Amino acid sequence: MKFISLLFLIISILLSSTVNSQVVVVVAKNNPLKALDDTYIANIFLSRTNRFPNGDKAIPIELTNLALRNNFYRSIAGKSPHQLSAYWTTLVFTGRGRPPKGYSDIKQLISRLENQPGAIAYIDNSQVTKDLKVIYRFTDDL
Amino acid sequence: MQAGTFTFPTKSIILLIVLNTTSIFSAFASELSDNISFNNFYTLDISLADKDLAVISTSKEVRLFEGKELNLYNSVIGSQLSYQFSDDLSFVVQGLAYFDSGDAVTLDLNWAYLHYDLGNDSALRLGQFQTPLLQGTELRSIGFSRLWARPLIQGNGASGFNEYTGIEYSKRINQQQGSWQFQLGLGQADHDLSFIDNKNIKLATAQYHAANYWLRTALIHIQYDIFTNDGGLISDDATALLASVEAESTLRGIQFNIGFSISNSDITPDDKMAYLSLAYPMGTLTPYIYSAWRNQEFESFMVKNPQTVQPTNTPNKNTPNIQPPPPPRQPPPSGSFNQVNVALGLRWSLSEQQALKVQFENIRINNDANARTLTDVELGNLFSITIEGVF
Repeated sequence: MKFISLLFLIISILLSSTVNSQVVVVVAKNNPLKALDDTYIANIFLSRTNRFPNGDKAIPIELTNLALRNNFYRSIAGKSPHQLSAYWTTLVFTGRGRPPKGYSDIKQLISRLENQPGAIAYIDNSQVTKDLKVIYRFTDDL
Repeated sequence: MQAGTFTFPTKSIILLIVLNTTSIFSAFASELSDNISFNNFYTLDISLADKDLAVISTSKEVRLFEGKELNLYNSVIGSQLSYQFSDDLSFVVQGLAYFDSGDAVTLDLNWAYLHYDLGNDSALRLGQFQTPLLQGTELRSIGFSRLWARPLIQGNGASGFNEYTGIEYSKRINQQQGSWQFQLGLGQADHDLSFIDNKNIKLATAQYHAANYWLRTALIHIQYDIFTNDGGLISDDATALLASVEAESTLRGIQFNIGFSISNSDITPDDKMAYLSLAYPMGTLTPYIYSAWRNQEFESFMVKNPQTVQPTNTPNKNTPNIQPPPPPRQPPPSGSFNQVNVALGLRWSLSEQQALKVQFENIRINNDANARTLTDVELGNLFSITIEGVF
């Protein structure tokens, strides 16, 4: 019985830490950008613009983590995964935009963020390294 | 481009292999390297008509769906290759393959262009494009991009001027509530009919995307020469003016799609087309109903200089039904041709890259113009089951 209680406690703590995690939008530390609003972030990640406000090229990249991705796009664009897929289909096959390049490994994504000028991504706050700069924090849990 | 002729069982096997192959892919695109990426699309369609019916298809042809037989004519598979030369310069080519009216595999090039990013959310493209009269004329081959089993456009697309080669400038303006996109194009159009030539095209489009709706409009002007089937010049100064307005909106959970296009042209028939669609997305299921109306007005014309001028281009393989008229010459069509389609359907999103559609469609035709068509049937029904996807 004690074992089951302990297991329940551990699971609760784990779930609690997951729920409380915060998603942030990051760029390389040497990027001159200080902050972006949610509309501008949506425009970058929906391929409506490929420039930062200062005119520098913006290169959105993302993790291929479905839950994180689906919540992010639902939050910034109000699009469900199926709506998002239809959206990208329309853009890609008319040549008017491309979805962000996806990475399955967080280390690869962070390496790209640190080394590719203009790279921008959304990640969990706990994964922010000293070479990255947070330019937007989601106030609600994603 | 054609290669080989296939029977129905062979075609079914080929399509099943395609389906199996595509089902193993889950990503939206395949990237061979940082510079090269592939995007692919397919439509596998089985349709059953109660009578012989001429129906618009995902390929560039209006197809004769044979009555009381299973038809695979709405099936296509295609691919898009993008090569990034640098951050600002890329090349894109998109083609598709389908079974044509002669049951042979036809390969067709949809898009092929160089894209240069000018910065400031503007771009220049040079090459071959699909004519953007309605969203369906640009994305006719990409069934997954639409709700319905077949594109909601006129049978001849952008009045037959479905592609053009030239230069295009686009500009996007982002605002707090939405995003504008403008497009200007200039070049030479390609027409479905071989006896329409020297087609200078100028076009402008504007689109506005907001959270719950989008709106787009297009204006296209074309100058062209037109000949009789045997080479007689009818006009060397014919013009066509095409215009469209189209919108999608979601209100109280109901998705509305509405569109209208008009084409006023010399010699070739004037076209009007309108559609209205209502859909109710419920998670992965979206039932829908739509009605589309099309009108063509055929006018009488005089041949200026019979059999003295030859058109410079070769007959187009995509128009198998345009044959030199047998003597004695039939009178040209004159008057109205009307078609009304009403359809009820369901789209089921099987995954983010695959959808199953079931559609029942009623088609009514009133051919007072005596226009030459693929069938004389004026009332019929068509049932389609379609699997579409991108990978």
